[in-house]
Amino acid sequence: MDELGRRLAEGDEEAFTEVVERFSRQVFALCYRVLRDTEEAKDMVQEVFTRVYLKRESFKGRASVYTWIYRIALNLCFTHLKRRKAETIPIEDVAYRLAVDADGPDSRLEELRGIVGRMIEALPPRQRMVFVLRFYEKMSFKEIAEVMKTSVGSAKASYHFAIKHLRQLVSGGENLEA
Amino acid sequence: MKHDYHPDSDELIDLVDGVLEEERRRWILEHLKVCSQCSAYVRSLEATLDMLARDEVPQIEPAFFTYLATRIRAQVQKPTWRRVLLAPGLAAAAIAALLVFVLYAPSPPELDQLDLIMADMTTQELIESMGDDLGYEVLASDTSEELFSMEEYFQGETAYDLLEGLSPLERQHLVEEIEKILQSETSGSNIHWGC
Repeated sequence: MDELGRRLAEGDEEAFTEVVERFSRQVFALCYRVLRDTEEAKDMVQEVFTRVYLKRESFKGRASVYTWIYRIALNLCFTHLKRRKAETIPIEDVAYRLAVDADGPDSRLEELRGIVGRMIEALPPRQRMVFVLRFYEKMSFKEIAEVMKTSVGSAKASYHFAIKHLRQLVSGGENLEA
Repeated sequence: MKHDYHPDSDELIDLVDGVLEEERRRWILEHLKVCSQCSAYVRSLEATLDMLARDEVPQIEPAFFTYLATRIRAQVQKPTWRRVLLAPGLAAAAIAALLVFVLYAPSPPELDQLDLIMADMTTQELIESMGDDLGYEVLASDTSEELFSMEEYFQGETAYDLLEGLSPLERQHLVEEIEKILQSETSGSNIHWGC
């Protein structure tokens, strides 16, 4: 167990503050990338670190503090996405909206954010999380497998599915294999 | 090098992702020079990922991060039964938890049985026994934060403790609320809470 993890597990209040300062921005970025909603991402960050605070003495140090926190964040995001399942936008709608948006000026940040948001929201929760971890967080598949408690092969397969799904949205559906 | 077959789409994704082994990468790059279909696929992958890469996380007020640890400590260290139950969402959730417990019992239990069941069952178990979907639907009135807070506050406490921890006025209010809902849901079944 690293020094910070040991102090955190011992209930050291300064260690908790240090953990929050070190990781909260990253956790916010992760939650935003997955949830695509600023306010929900802020609520989630608070929820993640509340759980870290309450469970810190059960931290065993088998994974790094960073991995442990990411795992908590992903579990909470996954549960949240499952609750939002009914609101998932059908792929046809996303493709249609992307086509409509493409007619307008796409250089503005907000519009791009909207387009990307709709694309990512079209991914099933698991693919969405793997895609975010790999593409935006630059994690290796080994790290993703560790954080998501899955195999490297499964993480890689989810990433491939996600990429194909996203490409299909942009390219209008033709497949290489077809 | 022969190019009489195409790499599959997974390999092309790996190529763009930069995780292909060097020998395979060289073969595919050579293949792309002579295969318009595969090179078009790679271009569309790159265009898609390029668009996604331009997306940025929105900036939020720095104070949110500055005082996060302090806010969490304040939130976690303060809760008491009174505070929990005065929060409208949690009060509703507490009522709902007890209501669901009674409604899902096989038949309305007698006073002594109810006390015994509740004394033996932690509220955490009660919530878990509802299953994820029902638990969220019934308990997380607004946010999963509320559900989580509720689970944490109730951990290790029995449902009976929940009632015991209230002032007489709060207890009476809670029981009245539950009975009111039960009256409408179960055509006037009369359940006593022993408090």
